[in-house]
Amino acid sequence: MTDNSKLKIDDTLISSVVGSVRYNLPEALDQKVTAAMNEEESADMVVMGGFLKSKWKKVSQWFDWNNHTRFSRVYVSAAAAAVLVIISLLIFLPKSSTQPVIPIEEIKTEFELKDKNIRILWVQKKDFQFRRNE
Amino acid sequence: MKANYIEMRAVMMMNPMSKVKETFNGIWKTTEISSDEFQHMLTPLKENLYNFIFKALFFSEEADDVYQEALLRAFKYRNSFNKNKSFKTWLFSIANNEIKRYFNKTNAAAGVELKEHVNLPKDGTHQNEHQKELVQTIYRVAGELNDKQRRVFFLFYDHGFSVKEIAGITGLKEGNIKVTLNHSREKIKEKLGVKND
Repeated sequence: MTDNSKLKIDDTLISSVVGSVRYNLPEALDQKVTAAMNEEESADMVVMGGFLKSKWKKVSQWFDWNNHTRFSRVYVSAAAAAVLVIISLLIFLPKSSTQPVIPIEEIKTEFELKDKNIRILWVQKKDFQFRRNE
Repeated sequence: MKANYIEMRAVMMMNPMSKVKETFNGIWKTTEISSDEFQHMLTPLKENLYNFIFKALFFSEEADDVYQEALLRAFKYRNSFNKNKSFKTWLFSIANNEIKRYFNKTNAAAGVELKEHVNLPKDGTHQNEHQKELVQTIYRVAGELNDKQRRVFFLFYDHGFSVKEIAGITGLKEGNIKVTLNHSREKIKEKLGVKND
């Protein structure tokens, strides 16, 4: 047995050794697979509605095979839920309460001078002007 | 209340919408790949793919069937391939899934006994005994790994994928992949009687 104790086992060595073993693709297998692909392609060629079928196939294939389908589906669901919440808020959101402003007809102010036993009631009407032009 | 509602709406729209946009872009912007285009992309990778499947199945005769299934599936779903990404990674992930499917099927039926031999190339690449011993030892270690570990081993050492790419292909965590590679390296050293540094 050869002395391997001083051998440096690193990724480079392992890669070169592993990669040194190579197998040729059997020609018969290659031809068989190519023929199967051609058969698959001709089966897909539909005369009527071929365009729509290919588009639908593209969409369904994308969902089937995309690595992130699972995560995209979560985001699409989340987005759909968000849209529903927004629409329901728009429909059911109460209108801002803007009560009509009630015009002030008069202002009453009461004064009381207890020591003189006098009570003054000041009533300010709508047409009151602070200064009168004489 | 109204100001908060607008702010909430903006926040909710921001992240999900970008992902939704990406999703729909993925569907509607994916261009169709013709058969010729697919064959053109596939041809330089055929032999690599075959070697991956053959070695991952540890030289089983069933490798031919798995290879055929993998390629037909790749051809059938070729339009789902995003041209901005690596075709090699995409193709190998399909092959990886087929290998998984094969092991699930065969393991379910009966215990799988893998052949433990390594066919050295007939062209006599390995000229000396030392080289032969090295090859056999390393492949023996690969044979002792389980199916998942073996796929990681060959993806890394035979096909040059990075840990991140292997995680994308196999769905395994990067940490687990590193542990597998470490374990393989230690096993190889142990079998070769190499002292640890």
